[in-house]
Amino acid sequence: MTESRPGLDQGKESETVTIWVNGRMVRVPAGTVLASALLHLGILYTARSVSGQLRGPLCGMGICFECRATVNGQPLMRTCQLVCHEGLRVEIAQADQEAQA
Amino acid sequence: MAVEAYDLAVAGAGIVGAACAALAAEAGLRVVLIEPADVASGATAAGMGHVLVMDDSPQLLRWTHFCRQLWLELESELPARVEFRRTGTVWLAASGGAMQQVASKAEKLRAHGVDCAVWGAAELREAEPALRADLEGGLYVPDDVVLYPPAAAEYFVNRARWFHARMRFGQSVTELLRGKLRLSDGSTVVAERCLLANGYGVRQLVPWLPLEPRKGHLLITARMTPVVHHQLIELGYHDSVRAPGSHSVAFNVQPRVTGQLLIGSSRQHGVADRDVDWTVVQRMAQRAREFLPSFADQPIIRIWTGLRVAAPDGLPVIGYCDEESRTLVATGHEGLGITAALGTAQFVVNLLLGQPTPLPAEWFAPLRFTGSASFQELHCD
Amino acid sequence: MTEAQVELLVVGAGPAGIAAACTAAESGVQVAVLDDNPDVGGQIWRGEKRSAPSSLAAPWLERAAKASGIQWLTGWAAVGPDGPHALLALPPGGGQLVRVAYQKLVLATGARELFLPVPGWTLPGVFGAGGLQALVKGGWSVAERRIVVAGSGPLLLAVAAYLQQTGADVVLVAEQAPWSKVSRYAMHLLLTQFAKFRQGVRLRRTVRSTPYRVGCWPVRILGREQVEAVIFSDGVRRFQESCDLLACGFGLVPNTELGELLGCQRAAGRLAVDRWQRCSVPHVYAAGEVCGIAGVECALVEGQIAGYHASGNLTAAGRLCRKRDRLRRFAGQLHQAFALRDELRSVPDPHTIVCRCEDVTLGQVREQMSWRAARLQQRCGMGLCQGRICGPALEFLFGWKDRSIRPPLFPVPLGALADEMSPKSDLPSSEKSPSASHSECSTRRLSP
Repeated sequence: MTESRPGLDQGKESETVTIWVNGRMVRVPAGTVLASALLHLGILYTARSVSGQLRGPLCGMGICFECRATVNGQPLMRTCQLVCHEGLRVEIAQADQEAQA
Repeated sequence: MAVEAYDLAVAGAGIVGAACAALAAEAGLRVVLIEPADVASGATAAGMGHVLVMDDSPQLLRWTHFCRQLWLELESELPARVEFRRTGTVWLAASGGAMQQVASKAEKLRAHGVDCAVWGAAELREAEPALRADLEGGLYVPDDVVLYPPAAAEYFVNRARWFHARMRFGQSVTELLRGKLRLSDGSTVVAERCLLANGYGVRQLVPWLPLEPRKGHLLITARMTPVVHHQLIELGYHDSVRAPGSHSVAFNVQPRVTGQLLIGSSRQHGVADRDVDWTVVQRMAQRAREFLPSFADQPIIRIWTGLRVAAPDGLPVIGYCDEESRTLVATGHEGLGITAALGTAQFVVNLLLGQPTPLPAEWFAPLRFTGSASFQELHCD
Repeated sequence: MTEAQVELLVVGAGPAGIAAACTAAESGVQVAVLDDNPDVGGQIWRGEKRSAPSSLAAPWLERAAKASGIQWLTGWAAVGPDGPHALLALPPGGGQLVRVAYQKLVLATGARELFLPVPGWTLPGVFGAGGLQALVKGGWSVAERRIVVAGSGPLLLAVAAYLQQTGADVVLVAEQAPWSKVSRYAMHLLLTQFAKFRQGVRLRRTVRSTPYRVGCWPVRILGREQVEAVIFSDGVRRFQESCDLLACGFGLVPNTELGELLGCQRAAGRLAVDRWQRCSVPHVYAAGEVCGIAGVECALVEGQIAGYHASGNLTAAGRLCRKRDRLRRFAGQLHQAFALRDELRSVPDPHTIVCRCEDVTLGQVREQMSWRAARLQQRCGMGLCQGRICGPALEFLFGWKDRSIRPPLFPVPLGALADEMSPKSDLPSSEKSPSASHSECSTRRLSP
């Protein structure tokens, strides 16, 4: 995900960080919000609801918890409120990545 | 408009008031249930929903054993929403010499016919692997129950309705008059007898009752894969200080059907405010982390407080509180209101019908606090 | 737990919080600004300091960067009040709770979007309007995706224009308010707020290839595992629009939760404030959207009033009151124009999920008599978001208002609650300011 995007400083475009998504190494532009990075990777759903429905981010601003994931071992983190940093590890327990690919 | 007359007006639709209303209506009494807010919105909602046998005193042991039995008999009738589960209680031996306490507790319970088993370290570990490894063992009481109190209270309200009880919600009882009571909207309800089952609120109408609030905090986690299977309580839970203003904290954790863990418990004597006290929360969290070390990362999503109501002698206050036998109270359960709801209902209805109470009526009689000699003697233990 | 002390604590680093912090700091007050978001700017200025900031944002961001004596605590989650003069907060990355003691507090907690339950709204690919914009600003490219923007309010057009500029294919903007009201509002803008009118026209021109339909609203969202189409109604006829993503919001809701925990009075869903932006609780101010939705200009003015007043500069605060009152009046027009229509109440069916956290349906909730009963008997609003999404929806649907707020404001790990209080310390030194680079501020751990 290196194409130019609005909202990111062009001068920083070359700077990337490495994050780990379910054990897979991914490079993302520095400053990318984690939820946005996951969406960009095609992961549209991050959680499964109480009754088993697939859910993805809704509010984008830290309110709804639908974008929750385990980040650096801490469960139920709101990925929309986190910025990717070097070495960040995110586990998306419920998302079936094959289905989303 | 014709004035409706009732045999019994019940103030408070918590689990105790609702159970009393249901049983009285079932017994053929004309009942009205009066509640200022929602069903189970007071101490019933704030509590844990643990039905257990307590052995603090011989009276309490007999009482809670009797009460639990009524719940066990009701199990098949309860809707799934009540989340009735015989999880059992495990009393944990946490400190040196605690296994001795386990043994003496087991002896006491067995003497009263309460089924229980002493677990050593290995058995405990197998049953509850999430607990810290160095515990010496515990006492397993298999027939203790975990349930969801607000749903149980609603079940009793519906049952009362089924037996033609009337509901006056949005109203509280403001004044007791002869043969009737006044509600907060100014209206009166004609009722031969009145049962005050509104917890700490009883004090407003019967100010001479020596009721004391004991504030408690509870924490609840988010949903997770269930890893705790029984209600877990640190032994010596009731040994803690009881000075006014002091507080005590003990490990007490309950697995909910949702996969959430309800974490207790604290006891602050004489504190009636409902604010969250973070130093108490901190101690509760520390205790929980000590016993369940792998839970440190588990998010707590909600913290709340509730008021237990207690009498000085640690026994409930159930019975008539006036010479004319018009007004009854049912309060002072001190954190055992869920356990005692059905037993209290039985007790109250027997009093109303003039039948013998399941346990000696003097034990719990409110008039024991009026200073009369006969009551003093009963309570010299 | 550690303890830190500031003279003025500002919660929320959006326009109101920035304005309050700057004015107070420039008067010599020692200020800390705490915000759950990874960066300053709030929702409206999200990402602006990295791209070219708007003409409104630029001077404030610059002023914030220059002001000395402000500590920017971004990525810090407020946990709850600890007495009247302290707030517990969780620094980014977890760790120990910090008890931030303050003499005065400004609540600039902003607003969130109003979501109304629509059959199918839980499908992945359904976002808030501002929500989708935030995620795109965060780095998600939606280029060439077909997007429907629906709901209500001026935000819809702004979001549509933004998405279009990023290369998205915005296929429809659907506003529930009727033409009569929207046009009256446009006329009002033309006559009284020409700059805003021009801004609206510019936005409309940006998405000129996209139909802007008024008087229609989503009644069903279709899709198997993610959104595929939306069915709209205009009250008479229904029509279907295919899309890859739906951005849907019905206006904004003030974030009053912290104020409520502090005991501040609420009125009509917002925090009640006096002429000086003071709440009903002494030493607590509120500014911006948390006092009622009125837009960024009003937030800036209110933030300044609060900041000036909190630092004892009553003259400066007083000079801004008339401007604030005018902007508030203007906001009243907006609320009338975009008032939600009654038909929206009959959009969800009994099977529609209302509480997304606990999967409680409208049918289950409707049996209950109150919020409290719905909470106790159906677990509605008892999940992770603590009723922040379903609460305002139920207030709209049933008029239920008595949503009780419990700490923590956001989930806190058990271990963080358990940590021992260590001796008093300073807040992390303010290396970080709005001018610092984005990646630096969000990755740095700010534990003292």
